[in-house]
Amino acid sequence: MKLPVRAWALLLPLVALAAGCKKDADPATAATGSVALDLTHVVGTAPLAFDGTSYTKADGQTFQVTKFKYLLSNVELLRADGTAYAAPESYYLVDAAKTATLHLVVPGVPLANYTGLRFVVGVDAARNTAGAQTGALDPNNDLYWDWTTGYVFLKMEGTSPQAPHAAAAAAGGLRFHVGDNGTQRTISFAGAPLAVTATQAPTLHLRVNVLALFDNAGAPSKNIDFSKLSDVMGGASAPLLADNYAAGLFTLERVATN
Amino acid sequence: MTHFSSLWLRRTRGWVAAGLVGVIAVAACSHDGGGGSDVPTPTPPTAAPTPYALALPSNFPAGPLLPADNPLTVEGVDLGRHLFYEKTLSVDNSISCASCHRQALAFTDGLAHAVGVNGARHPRSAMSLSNLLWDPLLTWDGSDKGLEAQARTPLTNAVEMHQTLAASVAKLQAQPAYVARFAKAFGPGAPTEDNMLKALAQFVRTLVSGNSRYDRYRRGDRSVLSADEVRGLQLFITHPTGTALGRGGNCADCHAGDLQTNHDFVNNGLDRTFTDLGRAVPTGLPSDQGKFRIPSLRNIALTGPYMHDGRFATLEDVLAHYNEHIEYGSPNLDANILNGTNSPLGIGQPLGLTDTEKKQIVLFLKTLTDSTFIQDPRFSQPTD
Repeated sequence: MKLPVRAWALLLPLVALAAGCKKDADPATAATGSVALDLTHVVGTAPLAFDGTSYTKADGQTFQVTKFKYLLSNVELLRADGTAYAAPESYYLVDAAKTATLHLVVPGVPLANYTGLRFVVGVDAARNTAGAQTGALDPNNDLYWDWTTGYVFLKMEGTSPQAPHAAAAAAGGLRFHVGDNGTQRTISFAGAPLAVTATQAPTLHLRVNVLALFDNAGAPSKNIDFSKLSDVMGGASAPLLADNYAAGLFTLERVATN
Repeated sequence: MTHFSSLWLRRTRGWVAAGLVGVIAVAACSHDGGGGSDVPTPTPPTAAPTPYALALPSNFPAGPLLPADNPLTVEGVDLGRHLFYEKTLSVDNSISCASCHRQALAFTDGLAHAVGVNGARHPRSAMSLSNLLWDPLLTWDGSDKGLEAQARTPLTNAVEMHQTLAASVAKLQAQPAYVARFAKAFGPGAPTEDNMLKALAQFVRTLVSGNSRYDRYRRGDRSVLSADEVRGLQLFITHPTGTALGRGGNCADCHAGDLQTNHDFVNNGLDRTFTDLGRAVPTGLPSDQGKFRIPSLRNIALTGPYMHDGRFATLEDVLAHYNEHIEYGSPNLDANILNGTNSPLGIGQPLGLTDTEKKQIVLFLKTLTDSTFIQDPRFSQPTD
């Protein structure tokens, strides 16, 4: 049959579509390896669950989590000389409720001894406003406001009895949707030696603590009081949340060399 | 030379030159490594099924869920279409899938509760069938993962078609035309239960609705919507902030994007206590009680009555629910509903749309009707 098509893959690489196919050996990739991020979500010391588990902030306010998703992008591997290798097209969607999204692999990394890694929570400004895209940036992923405003970088939803609510309701909604250019935050792990070799593909095990969105130990003035702030849709309060998660959301627990 | 003899197929996504319609081409594993060379146009070996070129609207998301072990083929889709309209798949040969999923009503039945064999009343409303290849979990409570698994439910459920798959296959084996269609779609051998489910899933995957006036607006034709309809769209996608500038219907957090769904399950505040536990039926979690699948709003003007139990007869009733009648004492009520209000008094107040705004949202919802879809001869009852 005749298919009047040209492959879209030229413009927008597809992911996860080659299931069942043996990948042909590519000589050009022989001198590269990979690095992985392994994400474990917690709230304080407890595992993050979406089953109605109640968590407590430092000020005693309690909350439940129904959704926690974010976009992670622009992965860079740091070199001792201060330069970095920027992994192209490194955009990842993380949905804490979906195990398949918690192990991120960065392929095509040139073999070298790196001194650390950094990434961005959110989407760079250029791609944020470039319209709907594919892969992690597919607007079908529940992290897209609409075609005029771009992506939601991080979305936490839940409830809290301390949040404002109708008299008949037992709790108010927590709706923290952080986005808009200016709320991208870079997370750096500078002192994490990463040897990427033909036989070693290091994995960074990161603990992701949702509590850090609301409790900022280093800057208590940025703590979130649900009675005063329970609904953020970008806008003036979004940078506050972004500062908090830049400060404490991710902790490097260990690097596994293979 | 690429050939189609392998069952393991990979897909290449492309656009026709006009840029308006994408095509999912189902092609066999090839050596181009996904690098983007032109899709080859081979001659299939005799009797191998022909890949089905699924046309997707350009404003739709990429990455539809096409399982590698059930690629779309012309013959498989044709078989699935015949099965969809086949009454012998019910225990008393009285109803087919199409009895509750009528094309003219965007594959719903116009009833609050679906009716199965012997007049059995289903506790829930028949769902519209369109654009389901993006939905990972199906039915109102997400019990079924993927369309192949889903097809089993209505075929066997006591309040639907109520026939074992084995009995259905036996009836099909007794019909030479079906034996021939199975062979064309799946190769030599007798019809099987798995292949019956696969064929039904293939047909349902082809039910793509993307030619509504809304879609044409999204693809750039600004003339197709009236000022009121555009205002309705703006309200639909806007989070209300309690200010005149931020007035919104609070719809698009859940009914997101061009498919009008984020594929999630939420409690939208219908009841204080639940007669149908919804998502908690398969998960068993108290925190899932009262949650139901967020359906696409495609062809919503055709698919009433509304909600999982068809309790609302009209779109106006639906808007009245979200605007004035949310049951705030309902357990597990969604955060987006708890917090959505246009009132300057802030969270805790009802949504607070004006009558004009509600009418504008309803006008927008009617632009989602796709008259091409409900008349498409590829989806109608086959005559052969």
